[in-house]
Amino acid sequence: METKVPEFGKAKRPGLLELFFTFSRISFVTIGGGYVMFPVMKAEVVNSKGWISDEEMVDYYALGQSIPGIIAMNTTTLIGYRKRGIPGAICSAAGMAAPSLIVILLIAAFLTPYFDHPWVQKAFAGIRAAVVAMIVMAVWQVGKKSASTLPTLGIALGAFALIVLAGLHPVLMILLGGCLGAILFRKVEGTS
Amino acid sequence: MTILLELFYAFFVIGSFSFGGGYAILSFLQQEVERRGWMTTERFVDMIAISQSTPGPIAINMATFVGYETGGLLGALVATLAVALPGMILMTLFALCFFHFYERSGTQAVFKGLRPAVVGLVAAAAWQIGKVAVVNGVAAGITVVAIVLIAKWKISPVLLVIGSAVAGILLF
Repeated sequence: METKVPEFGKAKRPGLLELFFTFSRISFVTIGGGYVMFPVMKAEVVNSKGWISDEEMVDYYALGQSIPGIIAMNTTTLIGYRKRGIPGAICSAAGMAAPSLIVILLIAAFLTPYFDHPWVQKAFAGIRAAVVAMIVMAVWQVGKKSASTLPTLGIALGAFALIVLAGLHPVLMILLGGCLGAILFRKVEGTS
Repeated sequence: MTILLELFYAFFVIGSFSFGGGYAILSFLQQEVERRGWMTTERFVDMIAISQSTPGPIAINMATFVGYETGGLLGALVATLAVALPGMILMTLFALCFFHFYERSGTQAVFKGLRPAVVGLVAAAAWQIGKVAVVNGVAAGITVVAIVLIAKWKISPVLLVIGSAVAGILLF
C-alpha cells in the first residue's frame, strides 16, 4: 500500500510514533481551529521536519477544506497518508485528536468554574494577539512562493477582497482559484 | 447503550455534511442538541467558549465535550470518533487515486491557481481574527514582537504560545 505512494518534494519517511507525537504537538499549541492550525502545521511539517514542501502544504490544506468534515483532521489525514499510507493516516489523526480529548475531558469534568478567572482570560488575550502574528507570517512565507507573479498575486488579492468584503465561502474561492489556474497556466506550464 | 448509538449517529451526520470546520459545525450541533435535549443553553454557550480557547480542532473539542456531558467517557470517545470519521474516510479514498495524478501538468496548473486563492483566504482569516484579537496597544505590541521573533529567529509555536500567555497575564 505504502510503496504505491509516489514521493514529491522532500522524501523523509517518519515513523508512525513520530507522526502521532508531531501532530499531537501541533494540536496542543493550536488554539482556535483550522486557520490557526495552518501556520503551526506548516512550521512543524514543512520547516522543522521537512516532510512536505510549502506548495504541498498549501495544496493539502486546500483539499482538507474542500472535503466535508474538519479541516485540521482532513489535512492531517492526507499528510499522514502521504508519508506512511493508511497506518500513517490513522496515527496522525489520532495524534491530532489526543490533546483535545485529554484537555476537554479534564475541563468538562473538573475545571469549568476556573475558566472565567481573569488570569486565564488575560492569557488567552495574549495568545490571540500572537496567533495573528503566526498567521500573518505564514501568509507571507507561502505567498512569496505561491503569489509571486502578477496573475497569482491578483488571484490572492481577489480572494482576500471577496472574502473580507463580500463574505464569499472559502470553498467557493478554492474552486474559483482552481478553475482560473486551469485556464491561465495550462499552456504556460506545458510539459513541465 | 442507546445514548452511544445516538451520539455516533448525530456526530457522524454532523461530520458528513459540514464544510469548513468548527464554526460551520456549530449550527448543525445546536439543532441536534436542542432537538434531543442533551444540554442546557448555558452549558452549550460554556461549551462553545471552552472549545474555542483550548488546544485542538474546535469541532473535535465540541464533540468531546458534548459526548462527555451526555454519555461520560465512552460518550466522549464515540462522539469524537464519529465526527472525525466521515472526513477521514473520504480523504483516504480520495488520496488513494489523487497522488497518481498530482504531479501531472494539468493538475499542477489547477493547483497553481488554487494556491494563491488559499493565500488570500488565510490572509482574510488573519484580518478577521486580527479585528477581534488586536484590540489595543498592548495587543498590537504583542503581535509586532511576535512577528519579529518569527521573522528573525524562527521561534517555535510552542514557545510563542507560552510567551504570549505570560505576556497577556502581565500586561493586560
